[in-house]
Amino acid sequence: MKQDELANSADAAGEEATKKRRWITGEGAVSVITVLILVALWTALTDSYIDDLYFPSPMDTIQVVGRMEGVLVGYFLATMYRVVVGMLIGAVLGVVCGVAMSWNKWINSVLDPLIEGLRPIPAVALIPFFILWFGIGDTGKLILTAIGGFTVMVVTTLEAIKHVSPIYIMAARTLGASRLEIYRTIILPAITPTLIGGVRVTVALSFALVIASEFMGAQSGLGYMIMLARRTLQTDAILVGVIIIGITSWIVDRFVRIVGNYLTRWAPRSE
Amino acid sequence: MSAYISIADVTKFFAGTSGRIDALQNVNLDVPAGEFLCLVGPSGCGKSTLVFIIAGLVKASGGEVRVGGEPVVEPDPDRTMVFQGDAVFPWMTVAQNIGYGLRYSGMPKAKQDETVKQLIHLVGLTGFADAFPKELSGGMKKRVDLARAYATNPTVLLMDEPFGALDAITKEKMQVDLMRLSVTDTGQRRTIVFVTHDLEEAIFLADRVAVMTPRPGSIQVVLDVPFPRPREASIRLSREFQALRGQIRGLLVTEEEEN
Repeated sequence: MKQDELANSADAAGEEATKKRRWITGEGAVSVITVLILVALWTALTDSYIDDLYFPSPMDTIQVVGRMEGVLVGYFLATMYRVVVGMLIGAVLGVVCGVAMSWNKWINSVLDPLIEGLRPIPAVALIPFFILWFGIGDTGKLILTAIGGFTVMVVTTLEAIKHVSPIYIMAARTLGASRLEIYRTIILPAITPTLIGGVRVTVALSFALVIASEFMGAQSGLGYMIMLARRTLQTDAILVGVIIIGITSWIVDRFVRIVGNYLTRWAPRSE
Repeated sequence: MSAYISIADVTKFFAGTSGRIDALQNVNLDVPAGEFLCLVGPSGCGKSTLVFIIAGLVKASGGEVRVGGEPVVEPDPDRTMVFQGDAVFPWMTVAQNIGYGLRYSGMPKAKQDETVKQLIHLVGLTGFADAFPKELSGGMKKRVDLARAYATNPTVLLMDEPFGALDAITKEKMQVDLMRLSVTDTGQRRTIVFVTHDLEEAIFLADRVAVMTPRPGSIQVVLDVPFPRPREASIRLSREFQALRGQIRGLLVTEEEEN
C-alpha cells in the first residue's frame, strides 16, 4: 500500500517533469489544430460562397482593427470600466447581504421579499427604465450590472451558507469560537469554492448586461460600436467587437479561476 | 467518589415529521472526575444525543446536566468533543486546526505555537504542520481532530464514535494513543465520555461501561471494567475480557428481542 503510493507519486513527479520540458502537451496541440482548421475554413468560405456583406473574411477583420485602433481602445476601456466596477459593486453587496441575511432573521425577513421580487425579472428588461431615469451615461449601466451581479451572488451566498456542514460549526463552538468568529473562520472559507462559481456566472452576466445596455443607449463602448456598425452594414467592425468581447470575457474568467484556485488551494479536487 | 459530570433525569424529544420522537427518557448517570466511561447501546438509542447534551450543543427537553457543579448551558472549551465524522477544517493547515481552540483562550501567541508544536509531535504528525487535511489519511485526520480537542487542555473530553470510520489496525493504534494522552497538563486524568458500538473498544478503554436501553434511551446498567492500567492490546484475548464482552452483548441482545 505504502509502496504503491510512493510509486504513484514518483510517476506523478516524472510526468510533471516531462510536462515542463515540452512546450505544448498533446491535448494542447489538438486544440491549436482545431483553431487553425476553423480559421482556414473561415477564409475559404468567405473567399467563395459568403458575401462580405454578411460575414467578413479574416483579412478584412484584421484590417479593420488597424483602421479603428484609436476609437477601439477608448470603447474597450469604457466597456471594461462598466463591467468591472458594476460587477464588483454587485458581487460585494450580494455577498454582504447574503451573509447578513443568514446572520439575522429580521434582516432576512426584510430583504428576502425584495430579492425574491427582483430575481425573476431579467435585468435587461429594466434597461428602458434606466435610460429614462439615468440617461445614457455610466450611472444607469453600472446600477444595472450591479443588480445582475447582486442577485446572482446573494442567492449563491445564501445557498452556500445553508450547505456548510454543521459538524464544522459544532466543532468550532466546542472549541470556544463566538458566532462572529464562526462566520469569519468557518463559514466564509467554507463557502468560498461555491462563491467563486457564482463570480464566474456574474462575469459572463455582467458582459451581457453592459453590452445590451450599450446597444440601447450609449455614446461609447463596444456595444455602441457594434450598433453603429450594424446601421452602416460594416460587418467587419461588428465581428471585431464580438471577438474583443469574447477574448476579454475569457481573460477575466481565467483570472477569476486563477485567483479562485489559489483561495481554495486547500480543497480536494478531482482532475 | 463525587460526580464530576452529573446527569439527572435528562429527557429529550424531537418533533419529527410523523409526530414526537422520544430519544432519551430519564437518563441518570454520574461520572466521577478522571473516569473513562464508555456508553454503549443499540443503534438509535440516543447515546450520541446524550454526549451532544453534555457538550452543550443540544438542549435537553427536561432534566439537567452539571459539569464540575455548574449547569451546562452552552459549549465550553473545557468540554471539547471529537465527532464521528471528519470535523477537521479542510481550509486550515494541521497546525492551524490544532491551534484553533487556543486562539480564543487568551494564551500568548508564542505559547500557542509551542503547545501546537508539542501536540503535533505527541500525535505523531511531525513534519505535517503546514499540510492541508486533503493530504492526510483518515487516521491522520483523526489524530489532528484529537490533538485539537486536547489543545485547550479540557477537563472533559467527549467522543462520539471517533474511531468508527477507521480500519481495525489504525483503530487499535488510536486507542492506545488515546489512553496515553488522556492526562491533563497537570498530570490529572481527564474525564472522558466515549460513545461506541464496538464492545471490545468499550471494554479496552473504559473504567466503566454504561449500557443503554433501546429508544427512548435510558441507562440500563453500569458495569465496572476491572483490568488494571496500562492495558496491553493482548488483554482482549483473556477469558475475563471475553466474558465481560459476552455479558454486555447479552444485555443488548435481550433488550432488542423484548422490543
